This record gives sequence, C-alpha cells and structure tokens, in this order.
Amino acid sequence: MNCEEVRNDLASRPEHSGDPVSHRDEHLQTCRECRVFEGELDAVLEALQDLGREELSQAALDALSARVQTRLSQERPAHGNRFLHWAAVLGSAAVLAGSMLLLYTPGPSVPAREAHEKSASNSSHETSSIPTDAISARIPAGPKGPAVRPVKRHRHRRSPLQNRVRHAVIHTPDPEDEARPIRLAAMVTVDQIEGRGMIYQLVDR
Amino acid sequence: MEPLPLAVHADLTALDPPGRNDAAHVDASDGELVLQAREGNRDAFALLLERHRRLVLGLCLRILGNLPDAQDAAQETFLRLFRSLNRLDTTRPCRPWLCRVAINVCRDLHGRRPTLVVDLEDATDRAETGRTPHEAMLLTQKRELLSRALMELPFRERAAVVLRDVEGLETEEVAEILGSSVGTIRTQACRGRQKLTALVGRLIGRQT
Repeated sequence: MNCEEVRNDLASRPEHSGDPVSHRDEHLQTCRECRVFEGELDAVLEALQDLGREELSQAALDALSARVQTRLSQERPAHGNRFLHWAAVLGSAAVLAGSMLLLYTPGPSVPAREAHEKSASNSSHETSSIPTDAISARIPAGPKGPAVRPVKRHRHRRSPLQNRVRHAVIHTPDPEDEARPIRLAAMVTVDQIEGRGMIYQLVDR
Repeated sequence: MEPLPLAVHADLTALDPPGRNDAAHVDASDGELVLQAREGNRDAFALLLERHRRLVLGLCLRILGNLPDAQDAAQETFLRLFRSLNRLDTTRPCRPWLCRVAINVCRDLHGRRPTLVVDLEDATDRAETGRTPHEAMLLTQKRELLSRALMELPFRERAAVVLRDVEGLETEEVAEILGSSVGTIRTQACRGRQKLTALVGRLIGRQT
C-alpha cells in the first residue's frame, strides 16, 4: 500500500470498522508522515463528534420557535380550506368556460336566419323575437340585401362581438299610445335577433 | 373493583380538561402529531417543532456556519413542514424528511448568500459542565476552527461529513437524505475528512 491508499483507508475507517487492516498497519509502522496524518485525522473526527454533542443555546432555540410561530400565525391553515380553494378555482374555471362557450357559439346558418327574418317580416310588424315585453326587432332589408349579412367563415380572425353586432331598427310600443310604435335605431346583437341577447347600445331615437 | 361500563368510561373521558388532552401529545409519535396538526391542532405542530428544532437548527448551523442564516434556514424548514402536512407519510418518522428539507434549504441559501462565518457564541450554550475557563476557551477555539474548516468544503462533502460524523447518522440514512448511493456518500465523507484534516492543519499553521 502506498501513502495515498493508506490515507484513503484511514479516512474511510468510520465506514467499515473491524476490517482486517494488516497492510495498512505495516505501512504505518514504516511511514512517519502517515502516522502524523492518522493522529490529525483522529483529532478531527473526535472534534466533529464533539461538535455534535455541543448544546445549542436555549435562547437560540426559543428564538427559532418564536419566529416559526409568528410566521405560522400569518399563514393560512394548510388543511380544510384546501377543498374550498380548489372548489373556488374549479367553479371560476367553469364559469369562465361557460362564458366563452356562449360568446363563441355560432348563430343559426344564414338560410335559417333569412327564414327567421322572413317570418318576422311576414307577421304583423311588431311580432317580436326579442324576449323583452316591450321591445320588438325587425331587421330592414337594405338595397344591398338583408341587413344581417352572412357571418364570415373565418370568424375566429375577428372579434366575436364584432361579428355579432348589427344595427337594427327596433319598434317598441309607445307607453302613451300602445297602438303607435316608436322606432328606435339601435345596435343589437345577432343573439338578440335570435331572441337570447341584450341590446348593447341605443344609437338614437 | 369492577371496571366501569364502557359508556360511563367514555363520558368521563369526555370531561377531561383540555390541558390533559394536550399533555397526551407528548408521547405521540411523529405520525400521530402530523395527523393531529392536519386537523388544525396547533399544539401538535408546536410539539413537532419542539421535538425537532434542536436537530434542524444544529444541522443548519453546521452547514451554514452562522446563526442568522441557520435561523432563516431552520424557520423555512419548519414552514415547509407545515405546508406539507397533507403530503407527509405518517407511517414514517419526520427526522429524515426534515433533514432532507433542511439540507435543500441550506443549499439554496448557500447559493444565494456569501458564506459568512461569525462567532458561534450566541448559538451554543457556553455554560457547559465542569470546565475551567481555560479549557472552555480552548474548546471554543477548536470548535470555531473546525466550523471554519467545514465552510471551506464543497457543499455535498460538507453535508455528508456533518450528517455522518457530527450528527452521527448511519451511512444508509445519509444516503437517503442526500438522495445519493451509499458508495457515493462513503466517497464524499472520506474525501471530506481528508480535506478537513488538511484544512485544520493549515488553519492551525495560519493561527500560530
């Protein structure tokens, strides 16, 4: 055994005590430097064990406890609320998904919409598809064709709201004379024409 | 004397004052305390803290070499324990888990802050038994010298030496805590001891 092997063997002694070490002992008897190393290593190992026996001061331990307890008093409990937390997160996600679904749901196809419009104009002028009591809607056909133009197929490239807002003339009964309707120019949504939306903006009267 | 009917016994138990229930925690295992802490029992968590604070703070102190950083690391370790109550395996003791977390926290802190070795006097109890002032001073010097030398070891070797030789854990346990093989820990500890011996010799030479 050379010096390096002996020092490795000495340093790994705590790992396998009781192993036969005759070669190492033979080397130690002849090598003074390795004997010095062995003495220093033993002193270090003893000092390390002594370090482990060293008592921490009570003040340091109490300070740690106080710090942890102070922080814990600011923390939410790690239990109990976890279910509520996740329920709230999932609920919010469901509401968000529902809103997005409503916003992105395509209206009826163009023929269906035209048929709907036709039936609306064929009926008495105030038969309404809008589910409010007082308001009825009719989309006038302009010179360029129906006011409700076909929605483009590449709708995802434009804002869904942009596609779904239309100018419309709304006929609503006059509160003073119900037989005489009032015409209102307004912005309505396609959804409203389909009977499930809201008026977005009243343009003028 | 005849034993009480079970129902009567249960009623008497229910009348125990709250302080008595708390005292029962002292004998509880770590797993039982974790279960109680999960249900919101702050006393159970306080008992876990009291039971393991010496180990965790001592480990952090040996690894980081100064009390302020060690306090920070130990505090973070216990906060992680609190946040992990729901995930802990209650069939196993907390000690290896705490050591692993403490080592990880120390590693993070060690990477962020420069190593600063200060006087350890505030951290340790100087009123130790039966030593003359001269002996106590020599012991203090020896410990500070060793702490200084430990700080010069690479982190993994330092952790292996501290857990194996200072805390006295078995090599297998150290390997589990550090997430390495037993062979790797043996090599790291062996290399660390040799370096430490050379460093202490150098530091003594520097001092004299």
